[in-house]
This record gives sequence, C-alpha cells and structure tokens, in this order.
Amino acid sequence: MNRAPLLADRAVVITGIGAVTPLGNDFDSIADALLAGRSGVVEIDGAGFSREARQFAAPVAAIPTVAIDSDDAFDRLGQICLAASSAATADAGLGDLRVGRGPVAGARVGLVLGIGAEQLKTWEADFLAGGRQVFSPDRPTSLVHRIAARLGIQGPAVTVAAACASSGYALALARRWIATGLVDVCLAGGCDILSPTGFAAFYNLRALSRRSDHPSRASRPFDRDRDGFVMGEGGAVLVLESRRHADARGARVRGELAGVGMSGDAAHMVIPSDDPTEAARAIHLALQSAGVQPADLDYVNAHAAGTPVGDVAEAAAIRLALGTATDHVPASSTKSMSGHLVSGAAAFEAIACLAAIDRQAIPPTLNLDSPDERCQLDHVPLVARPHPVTVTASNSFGFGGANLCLVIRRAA
Amino acid sequence: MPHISCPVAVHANVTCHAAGMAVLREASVPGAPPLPPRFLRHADEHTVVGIRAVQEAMVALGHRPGPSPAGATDRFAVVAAPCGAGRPATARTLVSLRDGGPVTVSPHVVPQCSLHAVASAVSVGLRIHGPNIGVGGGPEALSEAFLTALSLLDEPGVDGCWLVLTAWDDEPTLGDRGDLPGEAVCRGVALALDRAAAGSLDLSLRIEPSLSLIDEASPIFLPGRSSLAELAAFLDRAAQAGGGDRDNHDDGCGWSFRLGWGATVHLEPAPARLGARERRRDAA
Repeated sequence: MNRAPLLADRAVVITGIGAVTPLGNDFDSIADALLAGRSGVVEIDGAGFSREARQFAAPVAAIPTVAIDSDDAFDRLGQICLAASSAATADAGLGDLRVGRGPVAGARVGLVLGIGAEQLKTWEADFLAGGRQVFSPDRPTSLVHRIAARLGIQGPAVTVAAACASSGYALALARRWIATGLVDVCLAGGCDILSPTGFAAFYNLRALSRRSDHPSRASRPFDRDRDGFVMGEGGAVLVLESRRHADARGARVRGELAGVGMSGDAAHMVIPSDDPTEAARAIHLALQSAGVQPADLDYVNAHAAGTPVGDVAEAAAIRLALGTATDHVPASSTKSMSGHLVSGAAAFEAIACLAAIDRQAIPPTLNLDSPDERCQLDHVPLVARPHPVTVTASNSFGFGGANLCLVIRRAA
Repeated sequence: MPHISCPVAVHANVTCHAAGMAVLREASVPGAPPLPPRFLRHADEHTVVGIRAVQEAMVALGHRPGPSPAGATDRFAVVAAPCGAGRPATARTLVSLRDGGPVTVSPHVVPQCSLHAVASAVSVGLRIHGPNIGVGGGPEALSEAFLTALSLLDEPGVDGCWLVLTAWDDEPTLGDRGDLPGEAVCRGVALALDRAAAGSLDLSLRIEPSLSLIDEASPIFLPGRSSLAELAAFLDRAAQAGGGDRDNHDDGCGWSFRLGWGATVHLEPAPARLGARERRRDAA
C-alpha cells in the first residue's frame, strides 16, 4: 500500500485561530471562559424552536462584522463561517490572501469547511421568510466557494460533513493536503447555527436535555443525572501549514496537529455502538500516527455531549484504547460549557486542547456532580485542574458512526 | 507538483425514476451484502440509488463476505457526494413545521437529509468500517468528491475508498408539499478506488503549475460542474470496451475536467492495461 508518511518538515502546525462561539470570539476569551468554568447556556426565545415553554441553548452573542468589499449577502451561517475564517487569517498573520498581495504571496492556500446541513439550513431560512428555494431546481454555489472567493483563496475548497465530527474531518483533510504537498497553507474548521428544524428534530429524537428549570445546569456530560445535550451555535476555523512553511515566514506556532485517526461504527444511523472497538480504533490510529503512547497523553477532550448512551460508549472506547493509562489521563467535556456546536464542535474543541497547552491546566466538566459509575475516567469535575500539558487528544463522534480523534500537541 | 492517483477497481451506475423509488427501497441485490430490514424506509432518494450502486459494484468486484459482511472493502472509506440531496424531504418537513409546529418534525430529517446521509447509510447498511464522509452538497460536488476521495487514501487504517456520486439528471421542481414529479431520474454512481487492485481505469488528480502564474487580475474560478450523467456514460462505455480501451474514449485519452485552482481530474486507461493493449497491437 502506497502511504505518504508525514516527514519532519511536513509536520502540520496550527498558526491561526478564528472563532465565533458562545464563550467568546478569540483564543484568550475562550481559554479564560473554559478554565473559569463559565457556561454559555442561557434561556433563549423559543418561538418556533420547540414545543417547550422555556427553551435554552448556547447561542453566539455577536457575530463580528467582516469588512469585505462584496455584494454577496451571507446568511447567519455564512456570516459565522466568514467571520471565523477571516479572524483565523488575521490571527495567523496571513494578511491578504489574494495571490501576489499578502505576506504569503505565491503560497497555495486551501479551505475546508465542515458543515453538516448547509443546504437544509439555507432552504429553511428562505422558506420561513416566505421564499420558495426548496421547491426550485436552482442550485446556488456552496458557501465554501463563496467564502474562498471573498477571502481570495484560490486553492482547493471543499465542504465535508460527518455529523458532529464534521469540522474534525475538515481539519484531518486539510492536514493531509499539507502533508502531501497539495497546499502550503489551509484554513479548516466548521460552524453551525441554531435552526428550528434541527432543534425540533433533535428534541423529537429525545436527544436534547429537557432541564429547562436551570439552563446552565442542563449540559452535564458523564453525570449520573444527564438527560441529553444542549444545542450550541458557532464554530471555529484554524490555519494549518507545514512546519517548514510556518518557520520560513516566521509565524507564531500555537501547536501541532500531530495525529489523526478515523473509523466507522457501521452499527446504527443515530445510536452510538455499544461495541467500543471502532471508536477505540480511531483513537488508537490517531496516537499511532502522532507517534505517541497512551501514557504520553496529558489530556483527553471527550466528545461527551451528555446523552445517556453516548457518554457510556465513549468512556468504554477511551478505556479500550488507552488501557491502564485511562486512570491517569485527565478527561473532560467542554460541551458542559459551550453546549454542542454540532458541525463546529470538533474545531472548537481543538481550541480547548490548545487552551490546555497554553494555560497548563485542564478545563473542567461543568455540572459533573455525581459521575456515572459506567464512565470510569480521570474526570476533572466542576473546576479546572492545573496540570502539565504537552500532548492532548480530542474525540469527535457523529451520527452514522463517524468516529474521529485528533492528537494536538505543543509544537517542538 | 503532487500527482495523486489510484486504480478504479470497478464501478456501477444506477438510475431510478421517482415513481419507481418505492420498489427500489425494498429490492435486494443478489450477491451483495443485504441491508437491515426496512433500512431505506426513511432514506432520501439519493441514498437509495447510492447504496444500490455500491451493492452492484460489490457484486461486480466479486464480493465475498468473509469475517466481515463488507468483505474486502470492510475498511474502505466511504466518500459520498450528493448534489442537492434531501430536498423533497426537507420541503415536506418545512411545510409540516409551518402548518403543524415543531411537534410534527420527523427525527429522521437530521440523519436522512443532511450532507452526511448517503455516506453514513452506505457505511451502516453495508457494514463498512472505514470513515464515512459527505462531501460537497452543491453544484461543485463532483470536483470536491474526487479530491477528497484521493486524499483519504493515504490516511492510516484506510484500505481503499468507495466514492459514491449522486444527483438528479435534471434537478426537478417540487410540488407545493415537496412531492416529486414521477419522471424525475435520480442517478447513483459508485467507484471502488483501490491501490491494491488492478483496475482498468486510473483516476488521477494532477496539479498543474499554473496556480502560481495567476496574477491579481485573474478571476477567481469556481470548480467545474461536470455532469454526473456524462461521467456515468463514460464509465459504462469504458467497461463495455473491455476496460479502458483508449480508442473508445471521447477524446482519445479519457474523461477529465479541470478544477479552478490549477488541477485536473482524469479518468483514463490504467497504464499497465494500455501498455498491454499496445503490445498486442504491435504483435498483430
């Protein structure tokens, strides 16, 4: 089998972060919120969202305005994706991406966005505003290409979807493009928005928490009294580039995307498999591709959304993959604070790993009052734990058995 | 400049009228892994033809279950690129949401109408344990799919890739409640990309050195919108010709389309096959 191993100078590093999230819109704000154990879950105007009298979620408070000379009108999803992409570009010091203009003039730049249901949400917004796009055969250009055009990105641009792991797969694909030399720099991540249809569908599936009496207490991964996840909004876009390219331009390196592992449960369209083999295989492959052992890990950012079945399945997968090291590797779920950003979750949680590395502390699992005895992990309940952090792993598991694990470590 | 390539071990091309979709949902494919009972009951039309195309391609590949129901493709990635999938069901859902409120929204709309739906259904229905990823979704889906599939072949734990492409031959106008015209044709094409196989066709992505030559006055190109029906016709002709007969290809060297960023996707006779054929001609 012809494989393309990552050579040392092809190590893929993270040089820029752009985010639009319930916990803030830049790295320091997000890191502060995560380590302070601050919840972004609030009561929202539920009109049109659900049949509950009081509805709660973790919405984006404000979307930064992107000043770009354009006549292309972006809807809410587009605005969030564009703002995150633009902020990532600025954070990385890339400047103007149009060929021949900025500090990376001549570089091949790509864009990968993990968006699970762009068309559905576009049709929905139009329909609820009285439009008829959903009935029409016209197919508008995808968001990823419109954003690439607005930012002046002239390399490959792709939308990927793997349910709640979508933005993680975007990062994985971008990493591969850089490793094989297809591009020099790649923006990758994903975003999502609160949508009436999505809200109702997840609610009717009984996947959402119904603790409307105290919204900030509703998202409680691994807790014995969890009853579902809390919808979140927003996402993140990271700038990835080869170590060689980053060093050549003197870029600030925030971390290395050192390993990726992926697999499929092939078990059920919405229920996580009770057999942890495939989820554990994704974790194992990620560690293997990063060249690290389970005991080398300093932190696992769990997918754990707070569903009764999913958290147990993930704990079993972590234990199968890490073996006895499980008892000594701190694990937490930042969805207890951010809610579940769905398509944007994996990219946001990559930032949580970078925050742990930057601050040398583990973000807590909020509301973890009574850990479920079926989820035997080295939990970090309620408050952050100071801890030396060099190597982290972030799990993402989606509907349809889409398993992904990213290994993110401090750059050498 | 990178040149990524992989043999296409086999392909299948399935079409179905909207009026015939109910029958196809329940139909089995002899020799292919069976789907769980009523698995496609809530599936979108793209999923129905996409999964059927993979089943037929598995049969053409000489499928044998072995320890896994998916046989030799157990650890293939599934990359599915539906163009505009889920529209009829979404239309029905939105009408229902408007008329009956959130309580009427089906939970199936998320797993069955999202961009990921076809890939996850192929993986779950046929018990394929590689990563499953939806790609594209819009009119540029075809170009995004080829690039993604070829890129994934180098990921650890991935033995090959089922590339599943679906689209309506002519995107239909829906009725006021999301109903489809019965004559609308939905198409699914499945290709098995397997570097360990001796395929008759070779799929390749060539990056041309033109990107760095684009100056700031150049327009930003969108990827090609090559038709799935056109690709399917090429694949069928290639297969009927005994596998990659150069003389039977439209332009003498295969099927290709250019991407806006300086790359070209090619499907052309595999070099080994071509060499063998040319040697036979010499002998004659």
